[in-house]
Amino acid sequence: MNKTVITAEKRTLVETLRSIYQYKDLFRMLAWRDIQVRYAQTYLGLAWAIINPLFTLLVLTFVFGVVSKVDTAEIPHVVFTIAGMCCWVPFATLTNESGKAIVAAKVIISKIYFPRILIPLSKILLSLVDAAIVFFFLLCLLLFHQVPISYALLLAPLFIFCALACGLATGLWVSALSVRFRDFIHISPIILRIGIFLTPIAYPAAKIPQAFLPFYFLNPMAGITEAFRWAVFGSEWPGNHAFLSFAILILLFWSGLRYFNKVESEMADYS
Amino acid sequence: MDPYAIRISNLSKRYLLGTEKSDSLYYTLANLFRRKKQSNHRAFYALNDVSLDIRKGEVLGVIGPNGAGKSTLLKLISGITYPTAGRIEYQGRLLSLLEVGTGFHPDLTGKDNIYLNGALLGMRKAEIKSSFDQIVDFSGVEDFINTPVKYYSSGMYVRLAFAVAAHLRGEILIIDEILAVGDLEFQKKCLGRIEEVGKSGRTILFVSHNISAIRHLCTQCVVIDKGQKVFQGGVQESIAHYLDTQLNISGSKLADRTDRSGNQQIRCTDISVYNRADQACQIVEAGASVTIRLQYQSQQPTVRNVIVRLEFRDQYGQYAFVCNNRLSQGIFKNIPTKGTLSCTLPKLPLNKGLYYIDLILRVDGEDSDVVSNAYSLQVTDGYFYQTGLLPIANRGLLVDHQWRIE
Repeated sequence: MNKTVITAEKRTLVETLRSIYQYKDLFRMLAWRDIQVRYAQTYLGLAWAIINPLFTLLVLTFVFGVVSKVDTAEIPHVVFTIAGMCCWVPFATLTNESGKAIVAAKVIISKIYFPRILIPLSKILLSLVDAAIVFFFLLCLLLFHQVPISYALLLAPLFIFCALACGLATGLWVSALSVRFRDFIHISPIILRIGIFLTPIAYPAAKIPQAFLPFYFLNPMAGITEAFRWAVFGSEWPGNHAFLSFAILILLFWSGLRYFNKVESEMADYS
Repeated sequence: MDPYAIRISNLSKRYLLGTEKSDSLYYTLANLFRRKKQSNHRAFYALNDVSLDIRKGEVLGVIGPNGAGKSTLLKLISGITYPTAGRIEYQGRLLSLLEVGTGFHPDLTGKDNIYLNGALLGMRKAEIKSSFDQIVDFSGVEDFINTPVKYYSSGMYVRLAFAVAAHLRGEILIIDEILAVGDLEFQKKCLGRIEEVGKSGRTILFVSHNISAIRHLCTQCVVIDKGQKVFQGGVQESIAHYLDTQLNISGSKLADRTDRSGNQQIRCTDISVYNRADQACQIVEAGASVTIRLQYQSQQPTVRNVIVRLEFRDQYGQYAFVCNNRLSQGIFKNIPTKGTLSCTLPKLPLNKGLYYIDLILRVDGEDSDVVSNAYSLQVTDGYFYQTGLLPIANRGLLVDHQWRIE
C-alpha cells in the first residue's frame, strides 16, 4: 500500500504536475462537465457557440473594414479578421473561464482535496471547442474567397496552442490572485476589453509606428496573432519583435504555474 | 507490518483571523507603503500540538464541543488544507465523505454526477464503473438516473450522494456529520452501511454530534477541545469525559469565561434563568414560563443593530430550538451601553433532561460575543400538558395539541 505523508511543506511544482496525471480521469470529467452545462437550459443551445464569434466578427469587420477601411493588402478584410480571431477567441474564453474558476469552485475546494490546478486547466476543452469553431469559419472563408494558402497552414494549430497557453497563464495568475483578493475577478474582463484593441486582430501590426513596436509586442497575443496569420496567409514574418511576445509568453506561463502552486495550499483557508 | 492506519504527530493549524478589510487589495497595497505595518490579524490555533495514532480497522469517533477543531482535524487529514506544523502519515487510499452532495452539478444527470463525484473523491473511472450498479441500487433512484439532479427531491439528492461516497473503495474513510441530513429511514441505512464498512476492516474516522450514533458505531473515541486532544480511550469513558467537561464549563461564571469568540465589542457578563415568580433558578419545569436574562456591557458608546440568539441543545449536542430576536420581532436598533436583555418563553417546550444554551450576540453584522454552553438548564417533570405526563426521553420537543373523537 502506498504511504502518504502530509507536512507543512508545500507540494513542489513537479509533484503538482505529477498529480495532474494521477487525476487524469477527473480532468476529463471536469472538462466534459463544462461542455455539458455550458449551454444547459438555453433555447438555442450549442448555436450560441457559433453566434458569439459570428457577432464579434461582424462588429470587427464593420468597424475596421467598412468604417476605418483598414488596408489588409490582397486578403479580404473579413478573412483577415477571422484569422486574427482564431487565436484571440480561445485565449479570451480560457482567460475568462479559468480566471473565475477557483472562486466559483470555492465550496468544493473547502470540502474535498484534489489538485486545484485541474480547475482552471479543465477549461481548456471549452476553449478548444471555441477555437475549432472559429478555425472552421476561417477554412470556409478561405475557400469562399479563394485565398491561396501555403503548407505553413499546418503550423497554424501550433499558434492556437500558444494562445491557449497564454490564456491559461493569465487564468492561473488571475484565479490564484483572486483567492485572497477578490478584486482580481474584475481584472480579466478588463484585460480582454483592452486586449481586443491592442492585439492585431482586425488590423495588421504593420500599422503600428516603428517606435511603438517594442512596447506593442510586449502583449504576447500580438506576436501569436501575427505569427498565426503568417502561417495561414504565408505573409511576411512579423519581424524580430514577435519573438519578444513569445519570450513574454514563456515567462508568464512559468510564473503563473509557480504562483498558482504557491497559493494552492491556502485556497481552502480563504474560501 | 505497521499496525497503524494513521499516525499524527504534533499537528497544529494556525489561522489568521482578520477583518474582511484586511484581505482587500487596497489594504495590502497601502500596507506596503506604511512605515509601521499594521496587522489586523489575530493568530488562532484551531489545532494545537495534537498527536494521535489510529489502528487499522478501528472506528474512531471524534467528539468535542462546537469549534473544538474536529473538522479542522479531518480537513488536515484529507489534505484540503495544510498544517502549520506537524506530520500526518497514512497508508492506502483515503476517502473523505465530508458533506453530502458537495460537487454535484445540478444540470448533470444522476449518472454523470456519480462519475463526477467519484472522480472528485479520487477514484478512477473504471473503479466507479464497477461499483455503479451498487450505488444506484443503494440510492434507490434508478428511475431518475438519467434526469438532471436539479429535478431531484432533496431526499433523493442526499441518498444518491451518500451512496456514491459509501460505495467507493478506500482503506480509510472520513465521515463528518453526514447524519444531519436525510430522513430517519435513510439515516438508519447509512449507519448500517457505515457499520458494514467498519466490519470489513477499514479504518473509519467519524465526527458526529449524535452521541448515540457514536456509541453505536465506534470502537474508540478521542475527545477534542479548544484545539487539543483531551482524552482518548474507550467509547463509554470518552463520552462520559466529554459530557462531564461540558457540565463543568457551564458551571463557571460567564464573565470569567475565556472560551468565547467574536470581537468582544459587547460582552455578556451574566446569564440566568428566572421562573414565573421571577426567582433565579437552575432547574425549571417542563411547560413552565421561563425568562432568560442576559447582562451585557459594551466598550463602544453606541450599540446598534443587535441580534441576540440563544440556541438550545440537548445533552447530545442536537439542536432543540433557537430564540432569535431578529426572527421573532426584529433586531434591536439601538440599546444602552450597559443593561439587560431578556427573553421570555411563555411555555418551555422541553422534555425533562439536561440542556445547554449557546449564546450568540451580533452587533452591526459581526459576531460580538459567542459562548457555547453559556448555561446548562435542567428541566424536570412539569405540567406542559394538563395531565402532568410527559413522553419518555429523546422524543423531541413538546408541542401543544388536541385530540378529539369526531
